[in-house]
Amino acid sequence: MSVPTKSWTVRVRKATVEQFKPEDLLPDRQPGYVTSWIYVFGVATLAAFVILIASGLYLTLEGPSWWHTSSVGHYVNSVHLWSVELFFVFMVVHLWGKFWMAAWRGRRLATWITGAVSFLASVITAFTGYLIQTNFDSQWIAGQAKDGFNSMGIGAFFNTLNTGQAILLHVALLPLVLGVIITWHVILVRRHGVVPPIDEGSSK
Amino acid sequence: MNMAFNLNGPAHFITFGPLSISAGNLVVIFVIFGLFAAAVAFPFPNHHDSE
Repeated sequence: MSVPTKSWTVRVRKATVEQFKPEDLLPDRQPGYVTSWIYVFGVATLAAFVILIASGLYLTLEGPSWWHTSSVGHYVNSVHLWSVELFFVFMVVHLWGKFWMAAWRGRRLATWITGAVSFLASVITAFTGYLIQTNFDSQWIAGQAKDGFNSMGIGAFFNTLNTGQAILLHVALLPLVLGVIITWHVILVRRHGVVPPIDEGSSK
Repeated sequence: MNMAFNLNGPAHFITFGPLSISAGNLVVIFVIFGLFAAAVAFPFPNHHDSE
């Protein structure tokens, strides 16, 4: 059976394989300068993100009355909190390292920007998470943040006292946005490769 | 339950003029600085200069 060349699925398949070669996405060899602790912190950020999603799914399925009252709920709640603390620590070390490596060299600007945007998206996601703890801490944070958002003129769009809005943002929308940006970042790293050291003399 | 740090109380804040930060947050920031310095300073195990 002949494959029609005008088929859009064939065009998409060929373009995808051409743009994202399997040997680039899952390589078995890397340059020597990839052996750096800075990349260990990048992968540790991904590992913390996986733990975040898994513990977050558990919390979502069981609900606040469970994580406030049961021992397992307290434990999973703590795993979610500490994995986000480590997520930010690992990501900041990776970000600082990449900044001082000038990692945007050699047509890697999109890789740098998706990394920076994923940091900003993480801050917003974490903020909505602090708003939905459903305790006095989240109530105090929402009350203080309300004045800040109102002073910026965006209080009508994002009301921090609206717990339902914060829950939907934190559970449904923002993890999806963050997951897409992080996946995009990792694909770009694979596609363009890791930036060589500055004293290599080549930015390719 | 005995804990190394008693967390059941108001946070301890450190103030420099108009700036104020909780001791916990300041510790985390210094930990990140320390980790970054260690990541740069310590060689990676089995590191070779060339491929």
